[in-house]
Amino acid sequence: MTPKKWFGALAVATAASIALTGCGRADNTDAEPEGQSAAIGEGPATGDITIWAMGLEGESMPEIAQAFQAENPDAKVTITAVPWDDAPTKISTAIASGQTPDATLINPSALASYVATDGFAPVPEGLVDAADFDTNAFRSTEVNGTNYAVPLYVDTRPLFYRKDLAEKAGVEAPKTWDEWNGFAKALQDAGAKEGMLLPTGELGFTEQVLIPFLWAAGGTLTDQAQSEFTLDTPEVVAGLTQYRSFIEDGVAKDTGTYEPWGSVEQRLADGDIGSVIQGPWLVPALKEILGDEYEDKIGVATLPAGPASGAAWLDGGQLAVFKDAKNAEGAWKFIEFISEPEQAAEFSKLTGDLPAVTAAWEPAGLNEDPTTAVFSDQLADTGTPPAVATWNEVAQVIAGYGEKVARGAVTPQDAAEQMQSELSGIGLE
Amino acid sequence: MTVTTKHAPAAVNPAAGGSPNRKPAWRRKQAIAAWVLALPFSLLFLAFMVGPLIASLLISMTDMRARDLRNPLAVAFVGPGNFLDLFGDEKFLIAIRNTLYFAGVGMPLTVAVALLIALALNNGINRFRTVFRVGFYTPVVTSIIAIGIVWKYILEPDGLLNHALGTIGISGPDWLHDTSTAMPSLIVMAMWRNMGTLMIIFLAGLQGLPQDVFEAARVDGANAWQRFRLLTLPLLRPAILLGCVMISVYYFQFFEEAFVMTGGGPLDSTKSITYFTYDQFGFGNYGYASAASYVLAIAIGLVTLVQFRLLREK
Amino acid sequence: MRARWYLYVPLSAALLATIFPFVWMASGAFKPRQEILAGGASILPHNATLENFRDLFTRTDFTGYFLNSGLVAVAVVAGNLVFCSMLAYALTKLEFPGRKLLFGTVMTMLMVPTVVTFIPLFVLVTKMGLINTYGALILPFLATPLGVFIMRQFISQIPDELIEAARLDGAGEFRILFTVILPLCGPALATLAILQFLSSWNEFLWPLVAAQTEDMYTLPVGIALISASANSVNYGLLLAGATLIVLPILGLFLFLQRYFIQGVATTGLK
Repeated sequence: MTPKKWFGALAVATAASIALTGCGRADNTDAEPEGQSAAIGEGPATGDITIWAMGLEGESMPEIAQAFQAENPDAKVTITAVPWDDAPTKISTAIASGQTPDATLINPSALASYVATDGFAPVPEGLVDAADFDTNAFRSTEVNGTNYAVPLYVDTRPLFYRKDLAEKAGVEAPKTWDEWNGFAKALQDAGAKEGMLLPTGELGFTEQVLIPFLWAAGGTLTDQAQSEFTLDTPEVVAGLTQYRSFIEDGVAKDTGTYEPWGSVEQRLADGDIGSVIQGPWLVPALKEILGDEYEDKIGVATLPAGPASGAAWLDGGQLAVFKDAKNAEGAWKFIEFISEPEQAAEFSKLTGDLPAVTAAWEPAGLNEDPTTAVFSDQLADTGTPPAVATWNEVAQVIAGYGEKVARGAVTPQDAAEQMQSELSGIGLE
Repeated sequence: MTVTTKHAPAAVNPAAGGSPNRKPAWRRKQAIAAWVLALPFSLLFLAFMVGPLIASLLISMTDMRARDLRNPLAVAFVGPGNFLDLFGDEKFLIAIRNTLYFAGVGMPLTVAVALLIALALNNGINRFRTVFRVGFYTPVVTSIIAIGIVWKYILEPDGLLNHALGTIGISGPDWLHDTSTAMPSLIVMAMWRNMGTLMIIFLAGLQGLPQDVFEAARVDGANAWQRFRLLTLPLLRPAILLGCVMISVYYFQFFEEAFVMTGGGPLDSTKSITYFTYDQFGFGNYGYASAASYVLAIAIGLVTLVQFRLLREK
Repeated sequence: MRARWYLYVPLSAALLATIFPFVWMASGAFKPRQEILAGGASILPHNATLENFRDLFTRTDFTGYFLNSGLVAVAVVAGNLVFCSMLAYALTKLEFPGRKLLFGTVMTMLMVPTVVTFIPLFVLVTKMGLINTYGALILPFLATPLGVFIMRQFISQIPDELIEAARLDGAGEFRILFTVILPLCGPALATLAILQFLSSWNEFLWPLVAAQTEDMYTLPVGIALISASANSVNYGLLLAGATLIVLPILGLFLFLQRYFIQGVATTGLK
């Protein structure tokens, strides 16, 4: 390291420290939305492209990168695998420092907070066509009217249940809330230790299960313009009441958690739980445990509908390019490549994900699978949380109230009221 | 090597280190040599510890959030505002209460258990001595990421602990999901992780005790308990002080156990000050988070001071 | 000497309870995934397998993580041994302006929680252009107040006459430190080495953000990465990795424990 850099850094730190005290916040920073950026050039990609990817996607993406390099011989793609749990820390510190890779995989619910820190570049004009993607998934890449990411895969959370126990009890998968608790009770009577696993703590991503109850009852988290929270409503109370009713009826425990990860499929296979609201990754995991018995033992159904809808949580992965990317053009070209139906199908075969590009479903062989058909139905009825920068904090508060309601520490009415006032204090930007 | 408490002060004393008739030129030469010796550490220390510490103090007096990091000068100065907000924030007050609970129960417990083990090891364990030492020290070196999983299996409702309790006819609670047992479970886990360190300190202290005094006491007819209360404990005071200070600095930063085991729940019953700070950092509220971490730092400083007062003099 | 059963029996029971989680972890590393998830209470695996270890080395860059961790830990230990000794010697045996202030500042930092300086430190390291280098992983840990505390306690007990004698022979301060003082500091150096190695080896949050590409990952980051795939955790890999991570430190402790206890006895307990 050169002495110059040393002193430079010390000087910056000192200057920042001194200057901090003197300056006021400029008011005009977050007003106008930026438009999509100009289209990227034609021709093959060149240079080094580095991409962060998490989980199974991180393990499988290098294969797509190989294919990409075959078509773009002057480009070199490096996929760095990052642990899912720790991705937010890594991404936000990278953005803060301006020292970022070129692109990263993220969850839709995290997008807005990174956009707020000015971390991601808008998707170039004409890179992809919205019509090629699942509608809700594409909408979830939008913040303040600008698209900042390209959806890679989608997942949603329908109801998994023990088909054999349901048959034994003579019940069918519930269609509405009215049938739901009785269904769970029937599974319990037929031998499940617990009719339904309902996440109730901070470790179980409780908000992803709880919020669909609010939607199904006709409630929303915010108004249309995302200018204020709208939680203190009869609909939200109704949703919370339904959530709580599983515990009151004795078909779910108030200590439910999806932890340890990987045990949900085991518990379902063992009959410790009769049903659970979970994502598509449960399918291969269950098939691995149950083998040929999978068809007989496991049923998947769309979420039972409440008074307003049967909307489920929409999640998934999307690829975004950093503003400080050294090779943004190369990164966009890779994203364009992986969004081609053929590559998306290939990627889906490697990961088991549902591609966000709907045209990839057929080549990926997803259309024949009955389980996938249920996911396909459920995808028609999904919701996404508001794209706000404070989402993590909001989610923690909602999950916290979920736990309080589940344990009977507050009534649904009080919870709705208190959530409204606490979240209003946090705000929407 | 045996070192009694007495001869250390005498050795520190002549810092000038020389005979009386040294010349100023010699002094200057020594000062230069001293600074050259101190320089590498001091530079690293200023750059990587003192600088960031001052920066975070300044941040704690602003409304800095994640979005400001790319342009850190455009934040507003809010003076003590964050600190005032903190003490009106119910979650922070809960975090303070939880931290005090954890440290207040965990510290004496860990010190007592470690002391017991050290006394036992020092009084007649000759065979397998190394096995015992290394065995009790093992938890200290084990990485929390993995050992957390093991502890979860132990503490689950139908986990290993409740199985064991079941065999003697007790049906154990859902340790980690019950608001009354979650914190005690984490305290036991922390004790498990940290008693090895204290054991080493106490063993070291015990080895430095003058054996002849104990022999004399025995001859005078003092029984084991009297010898422990009147001789061992007072003589071990420096070791206990060091142990208490080390463990309290660590326990006041209570975080890892809760992070891995409970996520701060159930119903925030294991959310500590450090956890609160971690959350706020995660939410991007840097000003607020820095203020919370400063409250913690000041609390640790005060507790350390109090301990020195209480335990040092007699 | 006669074995004292009334000591051995309870102490052995306590020992078994203490190492039980560790033994369970090590045996879990040899269990197939299903057996781990079934939460088996058995200590010995039913179907022992080396699969987890094989996966660890084939499916992940475990060797790379290991080498990174080793390099960083050795550098941190070496740096601390040298820099902390130098400062501690100056602070205890030499007279110079600013001595009290420097000592007071260093000792105050002993009590500052790491969470306080995390973000500014990260910004600083980035501005220095060090992010994703060994420098970022090593430099912030080279000068630790605890090291100065330990070395100062020990050096202050070394009689001044030794130093005086060396000075009369014409030795400079550097030579005195490295040829007279440090050879006497074995236990303190061992203590410092163990403590620094331990904290460097297990450090998680800092390497997580400071290492941006996989080839710079250290063991704890690598383990967190390989254990979490999609939405389920591969517990077999996790336990195998965790078992291997502990072995070097246990070995180090086994090797140095005698000095370690002696070091604590003579440094911490003045």
